[in-house]
Amino acid sequence: MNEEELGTDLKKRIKEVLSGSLHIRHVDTGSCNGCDFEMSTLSNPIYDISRFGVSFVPSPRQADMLMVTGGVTSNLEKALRITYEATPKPKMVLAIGACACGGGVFGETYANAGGIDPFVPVYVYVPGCPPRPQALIQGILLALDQYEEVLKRGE
Amino acid sequence: MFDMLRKIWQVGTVTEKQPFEPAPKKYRGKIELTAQKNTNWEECIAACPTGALCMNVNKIRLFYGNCIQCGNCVKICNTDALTQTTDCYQAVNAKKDLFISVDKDEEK
Amino acid sequence: MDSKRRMIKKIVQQLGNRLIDAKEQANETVLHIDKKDLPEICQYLYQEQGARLFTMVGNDERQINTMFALYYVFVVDEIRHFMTIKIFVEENDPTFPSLAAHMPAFNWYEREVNDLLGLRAIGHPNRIPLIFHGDQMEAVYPLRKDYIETGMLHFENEALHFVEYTGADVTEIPVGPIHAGIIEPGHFRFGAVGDTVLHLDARLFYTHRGIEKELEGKTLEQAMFLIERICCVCNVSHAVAFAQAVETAANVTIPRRAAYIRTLYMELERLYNHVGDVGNICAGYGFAVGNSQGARMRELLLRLNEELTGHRYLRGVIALGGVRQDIRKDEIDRITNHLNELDTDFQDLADILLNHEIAVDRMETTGRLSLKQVTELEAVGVAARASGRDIDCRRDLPYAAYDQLNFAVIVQEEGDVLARIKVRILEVFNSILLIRQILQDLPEGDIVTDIPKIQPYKTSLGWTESARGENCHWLMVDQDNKIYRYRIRSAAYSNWPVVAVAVPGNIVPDFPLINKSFELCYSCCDR
Repeated sequence: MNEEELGTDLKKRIKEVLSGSLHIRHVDTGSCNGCDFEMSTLSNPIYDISRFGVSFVPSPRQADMLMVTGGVTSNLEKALRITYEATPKPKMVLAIGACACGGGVFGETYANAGGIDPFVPVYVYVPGCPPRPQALIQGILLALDQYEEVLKRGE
Repeated sequence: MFDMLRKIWQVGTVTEKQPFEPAPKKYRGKIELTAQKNTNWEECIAACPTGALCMNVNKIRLFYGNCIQCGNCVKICNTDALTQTTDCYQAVNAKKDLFISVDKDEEK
Repeated sequence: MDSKRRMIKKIVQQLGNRLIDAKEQANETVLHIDKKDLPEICQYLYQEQGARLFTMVGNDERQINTMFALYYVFVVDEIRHFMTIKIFVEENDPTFPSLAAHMPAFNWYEREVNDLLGLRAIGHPNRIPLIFHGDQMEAVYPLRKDYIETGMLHFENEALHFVEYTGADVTEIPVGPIHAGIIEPGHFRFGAVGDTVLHLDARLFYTHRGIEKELEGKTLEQAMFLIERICCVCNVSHAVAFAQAVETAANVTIPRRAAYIRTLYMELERLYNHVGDVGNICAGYGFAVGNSQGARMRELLLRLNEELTGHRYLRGVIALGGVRQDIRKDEIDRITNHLNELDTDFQDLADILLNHEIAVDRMETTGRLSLKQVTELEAVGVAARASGRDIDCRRDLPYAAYDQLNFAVIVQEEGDVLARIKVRILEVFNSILLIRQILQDLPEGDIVTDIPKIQPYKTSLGWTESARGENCHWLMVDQDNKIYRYRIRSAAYSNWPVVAVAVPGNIVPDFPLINKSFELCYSCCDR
């Protein structure tokens, strides 16, 4: 993946697939807040993801995409399911970070499930601990490709 | 009020137009796995804190989803079988693409 | 030295024949007493000797001596010594007297011991579950040694144990756990009349991952990876506290160069945290210029971290016995240049903020905490110093290279959001001065030393001052040099109860601002 392509690709793809804007809802299911802080740095003036048409929305009802961090903890299992069901179709789920992809360093404990796979269908996995903001943008681009196919199939 | 405007003018636009510089040299990125004879696989696997590197019968398997890129396995490895790059782009669509397997006794 | 011995002797004399056993180790005195004498002796230490609560640990020692043990660690700052009260609790009578009614700081510790170990505190004013948020099929206590791992615990109906509000005009506003912005999960329930908050009930432990149980049985090297992932933005302070606990237990002194480099990394962490927090507080009342400038400076500091160590949040730099990476001359110049720029940059932001009438108006008198509240609830860190409590464990219990560096402890009196932001602003400049001193005086030498095998079942403490406040780690190692019990008490664990006290009386829209002014990590508290 070439760094130069990242920026122009993102704007172009969002315009093509979603007619200009992408709404993302962040769901924290028990992360150490590294992935959450990296997601919030995407809105800072240096990366400024809003110029590509991406915004973080406060409600899952307004979202096209869920970015889920953290392996699911026993106290947040229900919250993840309700948020997923509240998001209107068509929707995409991204698993951000090693904890969401496969349990990370914690694995399965009495309070941690070890990955979001058993709970929601995942479109894109972005490994890392935490993944760099550039890696998050690559993940969003990959998700848009798959979203396009889903729209074509008419789900 | 005026000191605010002056600060905004001084700092200017910091948004990076064309992303993003590549990761610095010290960045601990993606682990590359190849097959090499006489590698001390048991020690490398014991050094992995998440269990991303494991052995299945005669195959060595690395699960990128769980890899926290700590570099422990690379340090312990006595051959070039495990190396660390500065690649930070590892996002995939399907979970099966996060696994890489090599035969234990194969030599590259 | 003399005053220390005198004080310890005085305390031991006061205990008289209630003292079963006394043990001295490092700078800690462990006093074993019977559990029925606990309230009186703790009250004596608290009131007469000016000790403050450091941490409280519940341990399943049935494999060692057939009992459960509770350790109450107090620290007496003026003699820099720890007094630990140890009691045994039997398996067939798993109760102990509660201290929470008279000393509110013990509240959460006792509830946690109840949830995870099954030891009941008799006389606790509020014994609802802290960690688990629902009804389990049967009572399980994960931290007991005979707990069988069966995967993740699932809960039936979520039991609602909140305060009920009655009255014609009172509305109940539940918020969370999934919040509107990019923030960690936590549930808050307000009782409000119109716009004014009457009462706040906070429920946390949503990101409880069971780290303490996961650490049991791991080797010390493996444990470092878990400790770094308790929280991302305090990870250097947790890693150093762990390393210090291990080094105290093994009786090892690290090389001086390693101590200086550790201090450098800890101050770099404090810098990016405080700069980002000042920006975040501005977001609490919609001040976009402050938010953007703070976020920009934080990003530049994170990039500096990545260039120096390979990780934006400085993970993977602390090793047991020293540090993993050395610092080169060109890296020292890079840090110095960046700090010179940051100095003027941040000074501009501070001037803009503190001279802006609307900003100051929003922050002044909001979320006020008195010195009495902060002392009774044993708050630590920025929140405590902003209300007039003069504690900083870099000065009071020096570790790493802090005993050889000059720095000031910033204390403000008002206790409102403005005081907390002023403390952070001044601490940024303090950190810049500290880093300059470190880089100037950096000694030559090794960066790591070996750790020998640790004596089994010996306890040790490690502590650091993170950007939020004082963290404390308590370690016990078994006979295979693996972890037997590990207890993490982070600054956020001490400070979250104080947030619920700061909010009543303010308006509901000010709650995000007050919450951001504390800037506590939910995952540090929940583990």
